[in-house]
Amino acid sequence: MRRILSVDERLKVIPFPDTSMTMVDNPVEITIKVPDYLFMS
Amino acid sequence: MQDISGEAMAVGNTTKLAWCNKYIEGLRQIELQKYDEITSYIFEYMEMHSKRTAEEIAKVKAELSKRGGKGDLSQKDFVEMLLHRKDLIFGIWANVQSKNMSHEGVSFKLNPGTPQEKQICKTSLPQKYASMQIVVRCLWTSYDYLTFTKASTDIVVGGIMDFRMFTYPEIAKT
Repeated sequence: MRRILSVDERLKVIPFPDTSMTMVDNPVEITIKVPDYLFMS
Repeated sequence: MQDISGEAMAVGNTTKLAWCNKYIEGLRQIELQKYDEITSYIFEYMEMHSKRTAEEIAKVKAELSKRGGKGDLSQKDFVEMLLHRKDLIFGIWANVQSKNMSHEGVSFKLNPGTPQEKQICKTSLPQKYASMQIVVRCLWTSYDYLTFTKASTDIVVGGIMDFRMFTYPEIAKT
């Protein structure tokens, strides 16, 4: 039986580990291709 | 709305500008709420997205017979969904089989597993969650919904990128 839950009940966000409490060995990297209309020098 | 806002700004009509900003903010909040609702809906039917088709099972079986591997063939390794528009990126990535992602990272790709595959953005998981059954959502909007009405000397350029981790949803039992 499918349980129909509300958005808040369904989406359980996992917070990013607290960097002040634990050692971060490998920092999380983010790579994104910026749109063509964005000019960067 | 932007035209009205621009006109109000040009003539210094602060009342009109405040009215515009109020509605722009309201509309953006509704959009964010919609993204959450879409995510929730995908989670609700996660077992359908994580299931392999008969063709995919046959393909994986053929590959595994060469390498001699075993595993649950009915389930995909990852769920990968992505919508890419000029002003929006909305992606869902799920580690269905709890694979170790310490070295690979999480890629949001268009047409995954096909010759037309194209990586749009990439991130990695904190070490603690690298081999857990987890869902990552990527949301990029070309506009700034965070500091839009805040008084600041800085301007957000390039939009807002939001990566969020979610607990893997409970699968419905049939």
